[in-house]
Amino acid sequence: MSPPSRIPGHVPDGFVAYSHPSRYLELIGPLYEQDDDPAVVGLRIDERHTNARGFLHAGVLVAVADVLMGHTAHSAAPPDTGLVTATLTTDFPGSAQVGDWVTGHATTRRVGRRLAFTACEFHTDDRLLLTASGVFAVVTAARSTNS
Amino acid sequence: MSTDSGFRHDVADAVFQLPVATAFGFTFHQLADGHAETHLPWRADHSHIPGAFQASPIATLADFTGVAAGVTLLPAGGTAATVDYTAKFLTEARGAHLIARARVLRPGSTLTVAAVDVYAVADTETLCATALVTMRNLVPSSAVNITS
Repeated sequence: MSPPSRIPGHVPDGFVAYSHPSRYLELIGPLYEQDDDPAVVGLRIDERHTNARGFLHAGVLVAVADVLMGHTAHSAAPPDTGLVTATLTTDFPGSAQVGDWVTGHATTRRVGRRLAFTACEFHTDDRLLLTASGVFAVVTAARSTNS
Repeated sequence: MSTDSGFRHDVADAVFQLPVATAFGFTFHQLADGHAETHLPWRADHSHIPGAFQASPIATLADFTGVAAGVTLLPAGGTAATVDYTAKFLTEARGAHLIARARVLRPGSTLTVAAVDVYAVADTETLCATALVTMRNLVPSSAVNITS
């Protein structure tokens, strides 16, 4: 029997549905956030996220990192600020498999008038999976399509 | 390193069968030694705004295509895992579909580096993002991934 931490669909205590739903997150999710800190998210890895051997596809985690960093920067920005992704830089020190509960934590380093700077890390258990930084451009609301 | 058309078919088959490829709607349109081209039609779940793609699916497509290009140069049965990935989003990606074209810059024995340009296609192609992907080569004896 799988330990509770690896049961398909199991969501650990302290996580609730992500507060920024979108059709894209419906495609790659469901994504969850820590109930007292939306800058911490969780994702249960299933077959949709992996290659044929059951390892998490890097491109999936890049997409989740982009979403998390964009929303975290947005929450730190003045009201009505629109952000679009300008740069993503990611390193992959580790890997995850089907059944793993992966958590990510983003921080906002600076939000300026034209650019916002963010970073994040993703882990499963104690293993570091991804480190990333993102630069987001401030735009008018009509063009804020990326975050 | 070299490969043959049979192995390229294996690469295409393996990548086509990836659940992530099916979920996102990626399709292969070219696969040659050190090169790959994939397409992604616009869908409502790729965007907040009709006709414009979010950065996230663009990022996934670029990684996917870059690794596929790298794997074509590995010995038969070889695989690869992304080590690092950097993408620049140059302009709004507005169009009916995306085209990602990847080319290997350096096929090393341990690491392969690929460059990927992503175009948004409306009436014309617009370069909307460019990426560099470094992948760790996994030869059959140590292979753990098909692609990553």
